[in-house]
Amino acid sequence: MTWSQKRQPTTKVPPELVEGAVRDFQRGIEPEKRFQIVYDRYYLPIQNFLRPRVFSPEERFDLTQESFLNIYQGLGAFRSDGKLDTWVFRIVYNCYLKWLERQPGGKKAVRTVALNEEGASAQWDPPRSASHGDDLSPLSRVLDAESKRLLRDAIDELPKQMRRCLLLRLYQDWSVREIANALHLSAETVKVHLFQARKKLRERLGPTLVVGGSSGGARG
Amino acid sequence: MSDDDRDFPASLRDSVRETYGEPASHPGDESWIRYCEGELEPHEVESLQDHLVTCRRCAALVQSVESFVADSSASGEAPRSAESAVVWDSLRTKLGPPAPPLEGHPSAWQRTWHKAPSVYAVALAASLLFVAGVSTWGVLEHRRYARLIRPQPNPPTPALYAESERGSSPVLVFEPGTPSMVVRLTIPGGVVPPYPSYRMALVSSTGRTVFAGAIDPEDGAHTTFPFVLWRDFLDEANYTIRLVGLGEDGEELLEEFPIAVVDGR
Repeated sequence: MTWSQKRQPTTKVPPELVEGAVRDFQRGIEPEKRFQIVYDRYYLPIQNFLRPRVFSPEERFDLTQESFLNIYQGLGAFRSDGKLDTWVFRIVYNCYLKWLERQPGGKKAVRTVALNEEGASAQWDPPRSASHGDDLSPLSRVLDAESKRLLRDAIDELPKQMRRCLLLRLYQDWSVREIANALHLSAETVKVHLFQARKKLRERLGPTLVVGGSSGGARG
Repeated sequence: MSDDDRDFPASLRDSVRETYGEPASHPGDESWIRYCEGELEPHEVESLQDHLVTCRRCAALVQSVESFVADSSASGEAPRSAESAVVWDSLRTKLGPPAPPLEGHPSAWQRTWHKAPSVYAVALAASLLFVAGVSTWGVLEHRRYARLIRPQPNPPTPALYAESERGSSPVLVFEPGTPSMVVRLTIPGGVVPPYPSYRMALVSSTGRTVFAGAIDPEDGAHTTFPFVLWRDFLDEANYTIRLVGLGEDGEELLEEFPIAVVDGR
C-alpha cells in the first residue's frame, strides 16, 4: 500500500481512552506509551489533511513527524478543558503553513494550489465577467446586468440563515451535510431552508431566473 | 449531486458566483478554528458566517477543520498500517523527555496505583463494604468515606489559605477522619502576569515530588488557585508547594509555599 492510497478500515479509539492517555502523559506516567494512543488517534486525520496538499511522500513523512514532535512537546501544557482535536489541528496547520513558506514561490502561490485541491467544492473556475461580456451585444449586456441585480436583490432579501444556506449550496457547492456542520444546524433544517429559498426565488424572479445568458439559461 | 440540484440549475449557480465576488480581506485563521470549536460570541459568529458563504479560501479552511475533527472521532489504528508503523518507529527515536518536565517522575503512589490498579480496586471495594456493613458511625461516617473514594468538586471541608508572604509557614491540620482539604494558593493581585496555564507541585523536604498537575485560577485576576489535598497520600511532614506559570516561552516558578501537614488531635 502506498501513501497515496486511501486508508484502510480502522477500529475507533474511544475518546475517553485518549483523554485518559493525555492525563497520564501530563502526570509523567509512561509518556511514550500514552503518546502512542494519541498518535494512533491522529495519524490518519493528519494524513488526510496533508495528502491533498503535500504531494511528495518524503515531505509528507517529514511534516507528519514534525507535527507529532510538536504535539509531544506541547501536550504537557494542554489544558484539560480545551478541545484536543482542534488543538492538534492548529499544530498540524501551523507546521503546514511553515512548510508552505519554505516552498519556492512562497506561501501565497502554493497555498492557492493547495486550496484548489481541497475537493470538488473548490474546483470551479471563477467566471470572468469581462471576457464573458465581450461576447454579448450591448443590449444583452444590459439585460445580463439587470438579471444579476434582480437575482442579488432576491437573495439578499431572504432571511439570514436561509440566505447563508442557499449561498453555501450555490456559491460554494457544499452538500447539505457540509452546510449543516459549518452553520451548526441540523441537516433537516438546512433542507427546509433550501426548499423555502428555492420557492421564494421562484416567486420573486419567475421567468427572469434566466441569468448569465452564456450558460444557456434555465427556468425556475 | 444531491436531490436538491434538480431545482438549482447550473446556470443559476454560475450567476450567483458572478453576482457575488470574493471578499478582499479575510478573518484570521485562528478565528475560523475558534468558530469551529463553538467558542465565539454570537455577533462574531454572525459576521463570520456572512463572510463564509462567498469566500472560497475561508470555506476551505472551515472544511479542513470540520473534516479533521470528524476524522479524529472516527479514527484509530488497530492494527497499525505499515506506513504508520514506519513513521512511529522513526518518531520514537526523536521523542526525548516530554516538556514541561515539572514532575520529573511519577510519585510513588502514582506508580504503585498504575502498576496494580486491580489489587487496589479490590482492596478499596472491600474496605467500602466493611465500612458500610459494620461501622457504627452511621450514615455520616459512610458519607465521609465516600468522599475519600469519589472526590467531589467542592468538598465541604475547611479551607486553608496558603498565604504568599515569605517566611510564613501555614500548617495544614487534618481533623481526624478528614480525607481531604481544599487549599487555596493566594498571590497578591497584580504581582504575577497571567499565563495561559499553570501547574503546581507538592514537593517533600527531601525534594521528592509527591504530586503535580495542572491547576486553574478560580478568579479572572489569576491570583487564587484552589486544589484538593488528600490525607492518605501525605505523611506528617513539611512540604513545599510550587506554583509554576506555563507560557509560550517556557515555564516560570511563580511562588513557593511552605506548609506542614499534621494530624489533628
